Amino acid sequence: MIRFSSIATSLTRSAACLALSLALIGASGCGEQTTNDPAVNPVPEAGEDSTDPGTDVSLGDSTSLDTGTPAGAIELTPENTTIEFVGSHVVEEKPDPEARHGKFQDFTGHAVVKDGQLESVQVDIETASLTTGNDKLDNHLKNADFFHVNQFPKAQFVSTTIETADDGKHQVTGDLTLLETTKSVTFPATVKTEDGLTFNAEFTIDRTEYGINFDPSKVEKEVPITITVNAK
Amino acid sequence: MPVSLADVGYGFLLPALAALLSLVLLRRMLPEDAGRRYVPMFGFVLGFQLGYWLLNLGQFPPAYHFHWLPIAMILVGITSSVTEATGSTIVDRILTYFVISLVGCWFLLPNYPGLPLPWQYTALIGSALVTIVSLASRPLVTRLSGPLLTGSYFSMLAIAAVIMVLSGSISFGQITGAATGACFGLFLAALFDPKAKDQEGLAFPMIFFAFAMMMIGQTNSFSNIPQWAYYILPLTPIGMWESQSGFFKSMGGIGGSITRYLVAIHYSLIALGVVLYAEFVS
Repeated sequence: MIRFSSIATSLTRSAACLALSLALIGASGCGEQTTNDPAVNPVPEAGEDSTDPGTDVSLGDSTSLDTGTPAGAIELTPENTTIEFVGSHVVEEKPDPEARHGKFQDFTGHAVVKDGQLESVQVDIETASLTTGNDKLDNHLKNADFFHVNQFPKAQFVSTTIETADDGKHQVTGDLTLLETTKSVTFPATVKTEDGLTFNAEFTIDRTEYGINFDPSKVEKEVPITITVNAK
Repeated sequence: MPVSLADVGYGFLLPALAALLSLVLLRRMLPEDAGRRYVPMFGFVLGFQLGYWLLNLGQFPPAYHFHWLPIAMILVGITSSVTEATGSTIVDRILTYFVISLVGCWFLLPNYPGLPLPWQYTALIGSALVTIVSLASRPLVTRLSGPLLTGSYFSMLAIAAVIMVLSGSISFGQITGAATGACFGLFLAALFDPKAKDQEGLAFPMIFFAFAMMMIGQTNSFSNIPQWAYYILPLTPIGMWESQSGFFKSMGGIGGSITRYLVAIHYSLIALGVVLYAEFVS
């Protein structure tokens, strides 16, 4: 036999708890305010401890990265430059037939050419602009498993030396910063500076050296990166 | 991405085994009061820690906000057990749950630019939510039979793990999976060991963990899942109360048991439904 008094007691308690909870959830959903307001959610300066509660660390706002485009430098934009990467699963067949190709769509940079010689290259990348053509994969790569773009919205490459080898190829050395970890990388590049700048380079990084530690037994540590520039 | 033996072994079975053994062995070794208050929490937190560290899901000292989770769970677990002491009042629990939740949220919630709500507000509102739901969940240990209580928590955490993966992070899914495994161990103990049937002190750790993972998943997600959907799953204990209304309790047989179980977890099922709709239909 159904006891209506016990139904009423249980439902009353449930309803009270639910009502209070919904009120709190509603209050949390009402906060559609911009958090770019420094008074509300100040972005700390780069260099603050990322484990400090209540802070996050990034490469800072765009002004701290932008060293200004030198006079006469060639602007590198998504229209004349592509920055691509390849992610592969750990499989027996090499290369992985189902490797994932991605690229960054939002970046700025410049290349300085003097007397026909490429002198320097700098590129500043918005990591959240990555795309692979697959939304779910993009979400995974942007999440904390890989690029962690909310915590590290910027990546950067700044060349330190560019040498010309005997065979005409160039050896580019520079500092690559990913997830606020900077490592020096050196790679060969094919460069032509007649009529603008043509630049082609392919090199491989170990993502775990930059703190992208997602299970190396499932996804290869080595990530090929390709940079192509066709700038007039 | 394939699931490896290590994923299942370290990430689910070992945590389950650790929790099960804790319940079965420690409960018999410790005095009655200590066993009642500390062992279920210990089993849950130990199982979670095992899965978390064996799968290398974080680092110490913490580098990112969610790396504080193992430390937060120890704090929450001990606090919950202490407040189960005879003589603790509801005021003691309200203050303790709220303050400890706030401290946990302080470390666990990021303050990324562009969040819909500043982390301070989420921490305050979330702490209040966790406190209310945890307080409401405490009496369930005497209302629900042991396996149904732990089975409901297990289902809640299993669904939370799925939500984490659909939010875009396999690592967060594995972290939740480790807690799910530990809770499965508690469920097995409640099912087969008469001495482990009633497991006190689990409400606060379970609800805090569920809420923390939902917020961690939400703040790092680029999926189509709406923000409000992440607040539904921690309300699961309300469904547990509803399953104990006379109407559902009067249902007999296996059908009645299944109905009560589904009613107990229907908030988690609703959360999962919203997530699946957002990710695959909308």
